[in-house]
Amino acid sequence: MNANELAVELEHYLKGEEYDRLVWEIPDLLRQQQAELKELKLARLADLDVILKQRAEIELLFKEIPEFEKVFSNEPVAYVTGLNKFDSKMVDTVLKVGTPLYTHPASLVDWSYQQGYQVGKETHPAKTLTDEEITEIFDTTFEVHDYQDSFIKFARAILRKAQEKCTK
Amino acid sequence: MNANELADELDSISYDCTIEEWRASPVGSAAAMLRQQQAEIEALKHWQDTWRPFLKQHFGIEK
Repeated sequence: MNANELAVELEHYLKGEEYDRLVWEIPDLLRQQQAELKELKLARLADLDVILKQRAEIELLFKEIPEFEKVFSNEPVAYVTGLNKFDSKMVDTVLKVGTPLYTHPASLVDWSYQQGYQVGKETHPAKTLTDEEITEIFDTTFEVHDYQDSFIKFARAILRKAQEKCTK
Repeated sequence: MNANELADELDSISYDCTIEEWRASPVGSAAAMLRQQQAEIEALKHWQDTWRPFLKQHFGIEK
């Protein structure tokens, strides 16, 4: 029996003094609650839809992290292997076979810069985390029942871990 | 008078019947339903109060 059906039944049940006072009050309040509940449930569904969309976007960003790391970690993305066919961009190049190629423009400036870059790379390794480290932090900080605070905890833990790596 | 107060008042109504009969009667059912619906409404409102500020703060979504 739902609230509206019960309200109808109550109208036939109450009697005497109570009837005069409650016959209107109870059914009205039950119907009012029913309407409010319906509205709140619809609003919750709409909120859930937004939350799930945001979550999907965040998961997509997590998947892109390794690609970003590759670009920003100063690792070579390719090596000169020689030309198999005429390439107008490469024909005048002085780069020898085996020269590493970077997406980071600073590493392509000149020889002295290259040397500095090499020294810097050896003494200051890239401050990145491995997939395993990120997954481990995610597992220890993310709680489904505390979804809201988990993002902040996760981000802080990532920053802390990266900082630890810097100071080692 | 709110739903819970009204439910309390309904609890005090008796029509010469046993507790079981009263619970099964429309008045008893109404009292139970008023409380249950009120609890559901409060839970849903609490859910909204928790999530909406979060969506606004982190994603700029205002509802």
